[in-house]
Amino acid sequence: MNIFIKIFLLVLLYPVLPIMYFLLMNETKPRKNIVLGVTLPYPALDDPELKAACQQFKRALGKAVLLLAFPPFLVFFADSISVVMFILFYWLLLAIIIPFIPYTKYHRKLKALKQERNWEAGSSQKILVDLKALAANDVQAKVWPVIPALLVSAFPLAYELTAGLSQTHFSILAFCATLLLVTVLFFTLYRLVSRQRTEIIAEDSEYNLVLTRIRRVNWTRFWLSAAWINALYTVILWLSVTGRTVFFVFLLATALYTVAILWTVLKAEFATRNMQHKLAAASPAPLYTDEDRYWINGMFYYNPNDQKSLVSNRVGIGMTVNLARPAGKITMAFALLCLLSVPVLPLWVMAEEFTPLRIEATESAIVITHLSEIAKIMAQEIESVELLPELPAARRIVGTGMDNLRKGTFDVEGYGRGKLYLNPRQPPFLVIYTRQGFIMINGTGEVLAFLEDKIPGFSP
Amino acid sequence: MILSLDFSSETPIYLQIRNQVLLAIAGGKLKPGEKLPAIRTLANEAGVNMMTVNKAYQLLKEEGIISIDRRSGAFVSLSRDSKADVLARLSKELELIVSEAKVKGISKAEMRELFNRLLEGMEEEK
Repeated sequence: MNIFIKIFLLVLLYPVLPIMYFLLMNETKPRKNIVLGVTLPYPALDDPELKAACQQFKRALGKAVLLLAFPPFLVFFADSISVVMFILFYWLLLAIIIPFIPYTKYHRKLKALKQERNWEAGSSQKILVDLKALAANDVQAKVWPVIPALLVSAFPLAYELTAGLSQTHFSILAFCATLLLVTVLFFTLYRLVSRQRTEIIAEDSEYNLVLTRIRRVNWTRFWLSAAWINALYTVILWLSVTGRTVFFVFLLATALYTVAILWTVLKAEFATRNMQHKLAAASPAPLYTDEDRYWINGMFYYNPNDQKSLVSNRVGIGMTVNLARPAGKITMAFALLCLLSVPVLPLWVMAEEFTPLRIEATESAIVITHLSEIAKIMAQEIESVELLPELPAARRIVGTGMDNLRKGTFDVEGYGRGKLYLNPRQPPFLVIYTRQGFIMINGTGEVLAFLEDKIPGFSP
Repeated sequence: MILSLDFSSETPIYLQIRNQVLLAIAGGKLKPGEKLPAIRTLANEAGVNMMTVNKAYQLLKEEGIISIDRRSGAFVSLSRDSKADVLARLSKELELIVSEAKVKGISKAEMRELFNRLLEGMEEEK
């Protein structure tokens, strides 16, 4: 496997670890009056035992992150793509899950401390609403800035659909449709920002109004930027998978896409958080409600009294769903499904890579099997055959392209677009011409004998 | 003005909204002409049904405390009901409260003291 691809994958995935570390470390800084997902009275924020618990958490988190820091570099000792994916994807999953182990431990420790010190703030079934701030903030985000992004994102799908649909392009359509759906999702979230609950940090409505506006402006800007970034990436990805740009452009665009999304999301979160901290500190009469009972381990929100499906996240950044609402349950199930697909994908690639491609001749046809029967070439369909000692350069359009397997539709230099079912490491190769186009396979002894028998004039 | 809705309270939510808006106006936290959030917005924010907020607003409207306009929404607007009408309505409500106090064994002096304290509180806030 190409070392540059390994470096690219590493550069793309490795930032997950420092980001997790940075975000969870930041949970020890009071967000309003919430530390490690636990709501505390403002005077308790200076408690020495609380500070000691935060220090212990930082050390435990540091150890967990250190443990995860080296395994990804094992990719430099692996040759096969599936093994590289196995290392990186399983590491990714662990890098997301493991830092939450110390977080959960110290979250529970702080909860116990809160109970011990009687830091609960009365009835937790109370909801505070700032009537003045709410009345002044009754404004929806405008639709027009996102419309061009939606059109740009829809263009590749529309082009493919109008240019002529065939089975071959199904995965390209799926690519375009998925990325369009992501843009639509960003657009929906952009609109939902203004429906999020008003921030309440003080008795004085002015403070609440300013903070709510700052949060909404920052997050509206983020979702708008994300929709545009995704729209542009959709076009670049489409140009890449349809062979209109070189592979390097796709790699560069993917790296830039990741950096741009991360940069804008962190910028939105920390601009809001800093302002929240400043305003809460400046407020003469800070105010808060204790909603800890609705937060499972400080991470998952479950509040049957709240009709909102989306709320500001307590840990990390952005928003989270209310698991008591049907929309929240569906979203969480989908997110879990995506997370579970992370360990499944490398196993599937492993099966693709290590299952040998079988090309056999029966009485009347050549049958190609790889995991299941993937092609059958009937003798009467064959118009002509060409034997190649070497495989010409080929670029994958749809299918699998590995060092030991080419399976799917490829653009082959000097031949155009056709089907390839072969192991590039096993010459010679056969180009079989049929009325539907050409198919390239390995020229095994069994197949050569079959063709010599069935095709007049063919001699290996 | 902060509305504090307690879901564990025996007082219905619509009445909590009505009572707190009334107290805020009496305490000068909400002034005549000040805009109130739209029914949908408040219901969405508080996580309650729109009917609940609508019921509270209708009650406040009937009592002449707010006005509801289809275009500009709800706003504080003390009605021009005659003083005699308001006094008659309050008298009925107070009669019920006084009766309840009597049943519960609260003396006239205690009631008078309570009433005086509330009136003093209102004057201070204003």
